[in-house]
Amino acid sequence: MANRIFSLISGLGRFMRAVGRGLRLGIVRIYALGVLLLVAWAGYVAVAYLVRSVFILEPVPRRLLEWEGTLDAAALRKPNIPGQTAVAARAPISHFHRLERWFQSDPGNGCTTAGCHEPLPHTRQAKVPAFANLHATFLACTMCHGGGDHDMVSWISTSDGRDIESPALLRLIRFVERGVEELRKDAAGSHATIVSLLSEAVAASGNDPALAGILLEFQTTEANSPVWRRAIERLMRELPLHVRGEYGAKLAHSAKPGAYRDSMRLLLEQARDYHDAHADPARRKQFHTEIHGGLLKEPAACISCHTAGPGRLDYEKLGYTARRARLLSNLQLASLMQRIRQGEKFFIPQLMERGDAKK
Amino acid sequence: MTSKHTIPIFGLLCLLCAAGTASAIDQEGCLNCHQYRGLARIDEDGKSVRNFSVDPTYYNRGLGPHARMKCTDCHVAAEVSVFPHQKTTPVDCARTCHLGEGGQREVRFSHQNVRQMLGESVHGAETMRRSNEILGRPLREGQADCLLCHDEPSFTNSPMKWAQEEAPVGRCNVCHNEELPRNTQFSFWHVHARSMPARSNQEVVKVCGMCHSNREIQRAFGLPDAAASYLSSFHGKAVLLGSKEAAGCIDCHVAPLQNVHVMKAHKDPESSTHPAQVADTCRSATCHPTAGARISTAAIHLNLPTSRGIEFLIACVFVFLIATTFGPSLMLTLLKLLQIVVGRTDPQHEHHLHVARQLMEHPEGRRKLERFTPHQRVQHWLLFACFTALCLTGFPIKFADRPWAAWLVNLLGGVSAARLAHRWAGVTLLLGFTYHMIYIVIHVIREKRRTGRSLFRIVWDLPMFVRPSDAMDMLNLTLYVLFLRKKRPEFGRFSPEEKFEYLGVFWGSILLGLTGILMWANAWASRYIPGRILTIAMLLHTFEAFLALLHVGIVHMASVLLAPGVFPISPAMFTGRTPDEELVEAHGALLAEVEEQVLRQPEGSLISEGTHHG
Repeated sequence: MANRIFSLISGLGRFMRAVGRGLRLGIVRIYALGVLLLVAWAGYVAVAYLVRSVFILEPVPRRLLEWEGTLDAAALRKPNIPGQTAVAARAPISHFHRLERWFQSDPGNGCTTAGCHEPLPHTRQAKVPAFANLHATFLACTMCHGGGDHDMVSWISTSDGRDIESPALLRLIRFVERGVEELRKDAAGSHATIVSLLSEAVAASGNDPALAGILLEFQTTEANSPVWRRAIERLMRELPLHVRGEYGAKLAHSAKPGAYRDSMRLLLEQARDYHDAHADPARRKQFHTEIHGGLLKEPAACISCHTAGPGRLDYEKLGYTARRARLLSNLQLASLMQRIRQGEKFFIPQLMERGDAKK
Repeated sequence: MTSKHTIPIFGLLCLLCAAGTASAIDQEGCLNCHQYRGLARIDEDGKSVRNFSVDPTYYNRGLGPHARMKCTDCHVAAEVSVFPHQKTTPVDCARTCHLGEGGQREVRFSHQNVRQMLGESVHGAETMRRSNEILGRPLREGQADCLLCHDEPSFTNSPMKWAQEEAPVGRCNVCHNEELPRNTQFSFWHVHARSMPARSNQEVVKVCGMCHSNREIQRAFGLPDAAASYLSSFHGKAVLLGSKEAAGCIDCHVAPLQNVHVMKAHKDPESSTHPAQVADTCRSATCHPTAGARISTAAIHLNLPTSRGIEFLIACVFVFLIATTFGPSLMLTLLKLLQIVVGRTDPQHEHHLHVARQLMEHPEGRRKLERFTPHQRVQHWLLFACFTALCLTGFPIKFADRPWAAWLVNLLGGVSAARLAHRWAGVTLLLGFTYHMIYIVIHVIREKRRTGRSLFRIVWDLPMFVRPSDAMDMLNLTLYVLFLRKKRPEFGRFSPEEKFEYLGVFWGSILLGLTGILMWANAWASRYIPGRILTIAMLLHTFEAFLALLHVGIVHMASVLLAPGVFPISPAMFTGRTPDEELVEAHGALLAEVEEQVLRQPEGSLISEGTHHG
């Protein structure tokens, strides 16, 4: 019995060794086959390239022939918008006034990201489409189309949809507005605040070279030094030139913190349902009504924000300087635009001919 | 006037100017709206975007040649002074405009002279019209031809940092204060703009390539693919890799002190690329001023397939050479791997393996089976280092159009740095090669003194010397791997494959070294030899380097890194010893020889023998 068990075990051992040997040989062979295929492929690719390089002229790389900077509607939907998140080609045949960067997209705007409206939502049917689109970089759609309470308006970050106090650029303008002498009283504190806000503003502006240059100046300067003081003066001159809606933030009605983000999330879900119901026009219509139910039939008048009267936006509370706030709330251009929207046209000869009059 | 109402509103202008965002240069207040990047709409066709935004920094910081101008200098005032603006007439670049600043007298200016120059150039009005049509009319009716090549030049992409850019302006302002007022910022940019190209060479290639790489335009005007052939040349490759120094289209096609608008066809005697003028163009002060006139025969547009000249012939010869050297090596490597896949071994394999293991246990046997001395291993590693450096710095230039090439070149510090590193790696390789030659010569002299044999005999007996018997051995090996012979041929210390590899490195180093030096010293060389020889040198260099890469990168790597007997790496170049499996497979004769000396001879009668040459 013991002998049988012993021979069984030793037989099993031999069998296992044979299996192990076979397995090892099998692995070696499979590996050799892999190397063979790899070498054959590499050889083929190399020889094919060689022959091609002699008998066929290598064409110009596609990247040198594609004018990705050409402005088309499809480009606005690309993940990397030429000129904004990607380098724009210096185009012949696109925009003579060369642009370093392009339209500030809002990845949190459900109206445009859900595939319904273009990032430039106002089309030729609108009376002043480009002028309306101009506002899309710093106003949520519902600001004009939603008709909410102006007291509920706050700034929303376009990067993550959270409510923010006000854009860094506006805060910085208000901060430096107090003047060099005032800032010098707590130079170290002022320096830290300026660097922090300016960094945010630079990021929000898509790394604007002028702002980035001043930031570098502050980062390499000791607080309260003569260079620092000159940098503040330069900053005070430069900042107002950048108040043009590129804040990395939008004004939106938001009853409580996070409300805008939630409304956009809901909108995206509704839009998905709308798209999914493409085979059922009745349901589609229902979804469409639900999505647009809270919107005004006619967008709010320009003067509803740009007015000195009651109900206007509290621009100062939103972070604008007193001067800018005064200007925005009394913007006579707004009433002109409002009348243009009603079908009128205006000719303003002096506006364009003042330079010629010097002759 | 088509407006319903005409309302002259002086106050509005004041209001717009008071907005605080427009520069004093923007006298008409257009930037109050046009500075917003969102001022755009999708066109009626639903595809194109009409962008009305104008970069305000262009005006605010005087960053371009048009920064002093009013918008209505180019745009028709009657059209843009209506709100909403009327459909605008395309801008005519030849229209007279008014330059002026800060209360100074305005100067009338027009690009009419440029249009006239262009009209007399190879890019005349008819050429531009036909090109525009073939391109699908990107220029609308009435738009200036200028726009086919130009956008508005702006100089914010200058390599300087912002603070550096501002520094010269600060210096100008020391004198140009209230007493001597000038728009120093604009003046600085005005000069600065003209002291450096408005576009990079790569952008110029893009612009030129738009027409010159268009097949229909090539057919219509009977042109070759000039952009593609340029990018095949050294200049083009360097430009693709971001070089700012290498010649771009304009550098050659515009003569010194000329401008791009007067460019002539190369057959025109006035053209900078006319055969009679091209030498002067190449030897211009900014390019190759010390070169000989014959440098002009070097191929700047290298189009091998259509040239059908000596260059094409040489390329064909190299394809043939590669086919007859790399081809058999590759096939042999594949067939050897196939032996493993099908499990075929030499009938004597197990016996030889047993002998090899026995010898390895014997100190003398182990010593005699050491195939590479430390000295040789050092030479090999030097060769390895040089070869790797040469490949890393050279092949990105050959494959400049591949995305990885630009990445690698940037990693190396730019194309100039890569080229410099390549040259010095080449010099090191040549020094190593010279050292190896001295090493052989010393060995030969020593052997001569020791044995008194003839020099010819000693050289003939060098272990790496390729003899007719090696060809026979290769044939037998081929027959074996093709299953036409049962017994694997047995080789000595070095297999014929290794000898052929050595031969390849030997003559490859000489060829690559000579052609590399010629290209490096192209200006000097062109005083004595035609530029065409430089083109041939480049071809020889690039093809030989490619052949070396194929051999080393595919065949050699497969043998010393990937082959199942040696994976992950053969220890031969670390310890000098070859793995048993490889020894049995490829060096049977050496094994038999050492077996004879060590295992079958009495201990005391061992012949003291030095290893091979060294």
